[in-house]
Amino acid sequence: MNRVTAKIFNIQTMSTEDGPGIRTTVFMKGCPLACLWCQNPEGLSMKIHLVHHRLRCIGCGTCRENCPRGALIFTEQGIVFSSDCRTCLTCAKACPANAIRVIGEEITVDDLLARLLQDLPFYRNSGGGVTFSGGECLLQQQFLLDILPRLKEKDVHVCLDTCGYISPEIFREVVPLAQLVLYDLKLFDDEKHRLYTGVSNKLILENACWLGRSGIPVWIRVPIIPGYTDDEENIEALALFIKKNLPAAQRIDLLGYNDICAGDYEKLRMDYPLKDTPRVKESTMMNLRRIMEQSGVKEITVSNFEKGV
Amino acid sequence: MTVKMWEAGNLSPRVKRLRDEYWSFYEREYYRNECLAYTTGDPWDEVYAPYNWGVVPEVFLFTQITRHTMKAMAEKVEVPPDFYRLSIAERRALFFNLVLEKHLPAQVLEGELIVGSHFNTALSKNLDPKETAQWVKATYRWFKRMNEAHNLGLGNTGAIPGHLIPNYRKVLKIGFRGIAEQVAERMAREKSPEKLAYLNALKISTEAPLIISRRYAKVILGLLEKEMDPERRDELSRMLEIVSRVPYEKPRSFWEALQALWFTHMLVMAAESYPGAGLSYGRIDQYLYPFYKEDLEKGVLTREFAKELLHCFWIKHNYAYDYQGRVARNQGINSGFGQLITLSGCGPQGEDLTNDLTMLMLEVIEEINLLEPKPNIRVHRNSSPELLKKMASMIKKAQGAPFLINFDEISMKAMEFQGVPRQEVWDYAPVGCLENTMQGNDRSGTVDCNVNLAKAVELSLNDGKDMATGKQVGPRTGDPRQFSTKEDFLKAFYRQLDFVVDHLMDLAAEADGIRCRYDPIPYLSLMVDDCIEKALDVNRGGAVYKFITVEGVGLATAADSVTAICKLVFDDQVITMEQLLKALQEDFKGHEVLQQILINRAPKYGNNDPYADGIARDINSHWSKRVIQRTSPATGRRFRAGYLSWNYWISYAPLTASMPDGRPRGQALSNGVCCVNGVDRKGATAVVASVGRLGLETVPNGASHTMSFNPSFLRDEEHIEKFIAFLKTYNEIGGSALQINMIDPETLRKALENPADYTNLLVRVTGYNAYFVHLGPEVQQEIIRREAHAI
Repeated sequence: MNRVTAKIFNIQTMSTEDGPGIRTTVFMKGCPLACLWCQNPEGLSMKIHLVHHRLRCIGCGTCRENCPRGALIFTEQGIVFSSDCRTCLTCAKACPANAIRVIGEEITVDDLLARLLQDLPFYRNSGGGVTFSGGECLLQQQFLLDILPRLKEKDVHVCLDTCGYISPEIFREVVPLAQLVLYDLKLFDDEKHRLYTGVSNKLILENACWLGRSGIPVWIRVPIIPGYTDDEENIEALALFIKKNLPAAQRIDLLGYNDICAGDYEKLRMDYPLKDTPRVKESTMMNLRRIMEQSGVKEITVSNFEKGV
Repeated sequence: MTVKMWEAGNLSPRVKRLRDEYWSFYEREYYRNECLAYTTGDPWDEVYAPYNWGVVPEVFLFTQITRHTMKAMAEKVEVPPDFYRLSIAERRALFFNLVLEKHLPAQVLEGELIVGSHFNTALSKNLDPKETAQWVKATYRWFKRMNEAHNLGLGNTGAIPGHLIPNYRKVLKIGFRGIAEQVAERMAREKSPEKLAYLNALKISTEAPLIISRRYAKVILGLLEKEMDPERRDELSRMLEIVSRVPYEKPRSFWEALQALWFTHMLVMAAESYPGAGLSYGRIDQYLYPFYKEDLEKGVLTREFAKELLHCFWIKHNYAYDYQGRVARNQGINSGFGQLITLSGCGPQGEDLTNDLTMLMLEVIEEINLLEPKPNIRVHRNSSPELLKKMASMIKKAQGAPFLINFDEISMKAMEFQGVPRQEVWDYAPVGCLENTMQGNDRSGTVDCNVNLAKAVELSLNDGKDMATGKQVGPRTGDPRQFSTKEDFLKAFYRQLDFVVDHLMDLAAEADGIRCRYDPIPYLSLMVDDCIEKALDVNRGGAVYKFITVEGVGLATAADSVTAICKLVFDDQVITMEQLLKALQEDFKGHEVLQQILINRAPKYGNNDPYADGIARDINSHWSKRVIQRTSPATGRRFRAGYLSWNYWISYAPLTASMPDGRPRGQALSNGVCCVNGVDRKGATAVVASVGRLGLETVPNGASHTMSFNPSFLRDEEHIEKFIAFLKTYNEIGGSALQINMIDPETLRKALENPADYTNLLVRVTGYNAYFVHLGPEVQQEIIRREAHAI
């Protein structure tokens, strides 16, 4: 029995945006970056989060009664978990209405594998498989080193969705075990990269170059964030970088900004830096797509933009 | 920019006019296909049969009103002096012909290419005084008992017309002339006076198409005399020739075939006094194709004109809804009918039978944007990619498929379970909504018997008594507080389930017996094998495949309730039976915590959970294998299982007590084989797996299943391929039929008003997937706006 565990925050079946075919996406906790536009703030840390689901709450107070540390505060905006909370999860387990959501669980290789294999027929018929995302999946490399070969054994196609900010040693050890990499390229200018994601892009670009030489299939993802990454300069620089270092990339996806995650920030009581950011205009997106053609990559997709403007 | 709602498009001016005309019920005083009653004029005569409407609880209260009003409104038909000397069947055949000849209105609408206007009737039962007295006594005694069963929430039943596929293929092949020859040849071999009388009824019925032809020829002649436009004159001349020939003579062209079909089909509705529900065409793209192909090759037909003919043909079927034109808004249309056509599907060697006419008909469906005839597409492992792509694009455009998808492999397996030989079963076709039958030789009573499975749970928890009234309804299975193991409870539950199912089967057999004795339908029997050969009416069991389908309602509600008791009361001992019973009796008022435990702490069917799915499977297996052992004594029709819940999951909501799955009295039951609304938490793939685990191979009728998707799932080529792969997987591991909803902004707005009803609504945005009702209000608005922009 394999005792290696991972901290994850979601297993999403029927994923159609995380690689080819129909997939199951495993969202792993922890990330070395802190992008201002992060879609999954609950994946940033290894911490387990407790979130109060107001819609489900029936106000019975069972949670408060059961809390050993008196850490639950009832406010008008819902339940707040004070600094006394040690995430023992007693409240969540006691709640009859499933109104306290636990974001983050620890799961063994065996258990996760069993879950992932449930959808084999869907993978088979669609050319799909499993995608590891998050957060940054490569942070939990031991887990990946264990589970990836076992998925391969079962003929399950594996895709790694990574930001590339990880030591080259780990990168080069884990990545070859997958059949496809979804690689994020956000900002070419290093200073801006530090400012908006918290880290330098040097390592990311270095790993990207290696990836380009490795022959492993790659899809490149570029988040188009108004005011941050959507300037022509940035896209052109990325296009040229790709042309030079990842000429064999199978496709580039320009992903327009969306703020569906705003609610999550609220629930986690985190500030959402990109409040009030508008959506990407169609004209902007089409222009950026045109510029990205300089990469030489034939297939460039665009999504999530305001049509007709 | 808003989502483009599916609407009619690409129609010729003529077709557009005809379509608009149909939609103007309140304006077209000159033509409404409303019900016309016809009587012999005798004081004892009856024109309304309650057992024909036994599965429409909404009309039960109005039974006597309808009965007497129709009688009072009925037009008298002069019958010959020795009328009552004839057998009942002969009287029916003769009376029908008289109505067609002298009474039923006949009109041709402006610009029509296919004619046949009036077909909604309430025909006299043609019984003599003694027979009528017996029939009335038996019928209303039955109706009283059935109504009681319904009022207790057990279910409903009747002997329902329609819901079959007459042998239209035969009509197209040999015409009614050929059928008359078959009857004559059979008569020559017969000696028994009783059978000869019946065969004579069949003979008389073969003249009905001649009569209708004459009527319409006359109307067209009259129009021709006044028509100035040369193009229309030409059309009318051709139509004159066509209606004079078919369907008595076999059709020689595509146009003739369509006219033959419409006349034949509308006469069935007129003969059965039943406005179209379930009367289906079967694999129309297969048997019409030779006519289409030949005409194209001969150069006498263009694809465009064929489409126009089909558009005209399509519109006719919707006039069945004039039946309820004055009831409620939207011209009274509740989309109840289901004159089903079946497209594509596999052949005897598993090969795909999609042809050019299949694809043409799909275009017609898309363009005409009307409810009838309802289309089903048969999908199998070798379905043509072109067909699947076209299907997917239609689903995308229509905010939900205009059709239902039938899955061949699973459907065929279940049909084999009921005894259809493997070498025949490939040619099955559904009727009504999705009920699987064979073509041209099958009356499977697919809506004749509807059973509330969830009621068995209530009865098992109340020693067989109905909780609302305290009435002893089922057997005494004991005080549940004395159950010490879950086996004790399961024993009681299955005993009650047997009772409910058996009781409804009793009532169904009774109605079947009454119809068998007094209510023959010779015109229809001409087109159901082997009625001619057996000299036996279809209502007497003349069909080769004859069943009464028992449709199970509320499966998931029942299964989840049984699961909750097994797990929470017995396995985990989280609650006591005493606590549960009190909470149920008080409809959870004051027991909200317990209700939440029932909802959240027990496994639910629809999540690929072995515990919950296992119980659902057991329940399915138990009752579906029970019913098939029984037959109706009068006709020999065998009972068989299905899961078509129609709207009973709503009608029985107030009549079913609060349930151990957390559902309070009054909340809708589950429908078809769908999981309980909102409990699917593991996504679509898990739902498919749960449905697949039910063991539907013992459910010959097939099972209704609805899934909802966000339109962005089909936003481009790449995603359409994924959707098709999803369907392929459903075919492998899922159920027998699928109906797909694409959620639109309107639905999202409604979800804002009633979030509790939309908890399982998933919103897909690129890279992100969320439950809509859990999102913050600003985001919800954003998504609605975004859906309106169709990302």
